[in-house]
Amino acid sequence: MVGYRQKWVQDLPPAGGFPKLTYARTSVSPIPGSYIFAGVFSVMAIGTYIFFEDKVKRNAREEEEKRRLSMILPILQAENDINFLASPHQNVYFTRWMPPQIGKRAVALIREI
Amino acid sequence: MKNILQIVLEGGLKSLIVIIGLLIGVAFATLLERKVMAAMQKRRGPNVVGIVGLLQPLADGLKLVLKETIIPIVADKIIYAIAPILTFTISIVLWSVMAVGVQSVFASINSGVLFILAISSIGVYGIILAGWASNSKYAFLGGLRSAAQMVSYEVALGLIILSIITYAGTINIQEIMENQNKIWFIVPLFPGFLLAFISALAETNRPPFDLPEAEAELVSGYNVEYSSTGFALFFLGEYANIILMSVLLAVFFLGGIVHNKILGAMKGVSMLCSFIWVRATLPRYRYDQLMYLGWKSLLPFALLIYVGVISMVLMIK
Repeated sequence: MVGYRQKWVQDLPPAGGFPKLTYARTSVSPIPGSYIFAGVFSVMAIGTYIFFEDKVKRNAREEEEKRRLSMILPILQAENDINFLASPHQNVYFTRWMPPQIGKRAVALIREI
Repeated sequence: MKNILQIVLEGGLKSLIVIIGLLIGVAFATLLERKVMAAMQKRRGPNVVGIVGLLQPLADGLKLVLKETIIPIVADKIIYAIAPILTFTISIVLWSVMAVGVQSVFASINSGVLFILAISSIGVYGIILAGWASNSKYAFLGGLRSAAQMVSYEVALGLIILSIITYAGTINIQEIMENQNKIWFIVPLFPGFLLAFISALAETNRPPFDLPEAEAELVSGYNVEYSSTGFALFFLGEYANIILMSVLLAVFFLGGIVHNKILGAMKGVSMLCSFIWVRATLPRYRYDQLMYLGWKSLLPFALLIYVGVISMVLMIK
């Protein structure tokens, strides 16, 4: 071990000791909880108002659509019956079966238009 | 007029598309989970198989399938084999009413929400059967535990879904989405969203409610005796359920695909990422804490929300 020297330095805390740990509970948000609650509830209230305002309008629109449909439903039904009878092997000479009345199909037709 | 062959072919093709899409989705959901969790924990995640680890799910699946299937001698062999198949099948059947487009849905039934509630309840049977048929005390207790957990949280989730149905005035999934054209339900029903999210976590056995994953403390759960394909089927079913729950939350609270298909998909993926976020953040619940949370906190709160929604709807009418 000739010629080998190592200067040992003991691992010690810094002069004056380590700084104190801050283990006390600290609020994550600078905004108080009551404010957050109030904010969330007001946003919810505004959202509810917007939703129901839209819903009332949509209901009125659907009602109008229903009335419009009821006026042209006989024509659509007749058109459907003609199409059915015109198709081969589906007319009254081959079968007595007739397709059911169109209700939902008429709605779909109108929506497509 | 379509003949029977046409109907069968069309149905088969449609279901094949759903199943293959779902399996690919599940495979990449596992990869997404591992990558996102790795990013949150300052790791790289899987990066060896394929380009940036893209083929990792394939390698995992292959490994599971190539392993030896072990059936315990004392197990009830038929039920032991049926249980994972049942779990997987139910998780696929649930997808049949989910819309991927305005007109493109496998089965656009008027009572889509009821269908989902009813079929997802049957999913508990797969778990109970697996626990019972293994003929092992650990699997049996694990099965009971998981079944109790799923049943408990289903009540709260059902009540929240009932609130949404009452709010929208329909039980057709597409119409529920159309109702959110102006404003998403997450705004007026924010507490309901939080409750539904927590219930969905518990319903799919996800952290912090992932008791079947606790190998060290609880000797895993109902799937402790399963290996190879059986385990893979449980795994696939579980992840299919997670994706379904994410999509359902996106549909019920974020409007689904009402504005745009791509935006709708992004909503679903964001919900999936929040599932992963919770997993990377929270420690596991104890079993009694889990039960208390379900019955003493979530259920009364969900009831309160339901009563509030009903009174609001009646008031407006």
